[in-house]
Amino acid sequence: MIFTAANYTINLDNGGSWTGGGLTIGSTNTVITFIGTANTHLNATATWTVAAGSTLILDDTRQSFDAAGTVKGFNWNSRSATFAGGGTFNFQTPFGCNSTAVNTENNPGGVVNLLMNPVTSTASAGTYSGGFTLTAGTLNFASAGSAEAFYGFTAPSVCNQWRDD
Amino acid sequence: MALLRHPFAINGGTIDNTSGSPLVLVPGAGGYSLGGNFTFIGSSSLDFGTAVVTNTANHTVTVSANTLAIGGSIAGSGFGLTKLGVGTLLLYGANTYSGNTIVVNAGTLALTNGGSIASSPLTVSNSTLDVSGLSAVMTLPSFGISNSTMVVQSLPSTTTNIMTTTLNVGGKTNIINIAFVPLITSYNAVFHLIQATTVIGTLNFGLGTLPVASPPYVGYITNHAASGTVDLVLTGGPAPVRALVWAGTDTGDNGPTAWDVQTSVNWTNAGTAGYTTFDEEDEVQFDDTSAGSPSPGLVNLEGSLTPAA
Repeated sequence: MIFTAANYTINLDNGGSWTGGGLTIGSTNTVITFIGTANTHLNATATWTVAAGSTLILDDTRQSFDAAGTVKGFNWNSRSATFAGGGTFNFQTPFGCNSTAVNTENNPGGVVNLLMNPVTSTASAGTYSGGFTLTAGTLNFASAGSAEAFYGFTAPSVCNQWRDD
Repeated sequence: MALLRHPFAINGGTIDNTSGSPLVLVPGAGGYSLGGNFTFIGSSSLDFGTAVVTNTANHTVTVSANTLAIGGSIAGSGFGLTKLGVGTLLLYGANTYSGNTIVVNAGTLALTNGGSIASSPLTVSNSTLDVSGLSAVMTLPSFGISNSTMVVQSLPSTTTNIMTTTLNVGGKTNIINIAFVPLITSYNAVFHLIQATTVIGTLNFGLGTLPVASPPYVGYITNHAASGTVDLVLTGGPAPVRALVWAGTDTGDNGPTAWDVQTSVNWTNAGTAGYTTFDEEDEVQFDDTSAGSPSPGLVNLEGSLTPAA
């Protein structure tokens, strides 16, 4: 998907695979918002690029983030994603739901805002168990709930990734 | 496909907390991997919690404002941390990394609770070292300090705040602010702040501030070059507390079982003949020397009491 110089709210309602998984907001002053509850999910390693001055808002609520399902987000389907481009990513709902993969912020000059609501309990396993790498850019814990964005991470180990393709 | 499952890896970039309140992160069992230099902006303070931190090389942490706290053990044999920025880096875990800890050009390194960097040579330059929240002695393989300020709480007089093999002192007077002193039983009261096996340079510690008290504390810092010690000497201040022992001998007032304030003479004060009353903040002891209480072991607490120990 490529967006330039226009604002859209997109309902991810087809429930299908996001084959390729890439996303580019290529110009400034563009705001793209993803919403939806259908099982639209990544199907490949993805790079999401938001140009400086533009914003991607992810507010999809399909996939449980915590065991109780009190917080939901987009289904990342154990596919790695890289956030790049120098722009702003506003994760109203958490990234990494249903993912054993590692996501990366390599976003020089840009910012990832974590804005999720808190889960009811961090005692049970979360569905985002993979990992997160901050390489460049700003990672901003922007809500009280964002403190739990990585609560599901497990101890470093060699493991086998599992996907529900 | 076998892959290495990563925790929260910080290989660069910037972290901030704009939630409007201090946050404590919950990073799961994976902990943190520190693989690069990073900056904490510090719009609000942030606590990494008690998850372990694996440091993979010598890295710089810049704290631009407020406090970045790390409560997990920071590991990394041979690797160290350099702290920059005017904010505070607060360590409250038992860290095992053995590279240098360097604090330079403003800002504060604070250790609280059980925080330690016992394997790391520490250098503080033009900055502040705050160990006033430590619950135990701070031990260091070496400690270098110049043009800086220390904040300590005086520990009981038999304990030393900072013990190091080598103390390297430079710059102008290094200021020591005293955040807290224990109850004083007599003046002059001496508290050991630093003990070094070897001193490089000239000990140049001076007293900054003392805790607020009425009447105010009066004291000074002594720099003992020969012994490598730095002490706080308090020469005056609030009335010393007394060390009382229960006697239970008052047949008048509130009787021989009454522990009250400044009424019943049911106590002895070491070194003073006769019996006395209890004053708030006095240290008290109950032992087997009491001969007066009608029922052995019977003590009635009268009202609100605030003993020192």
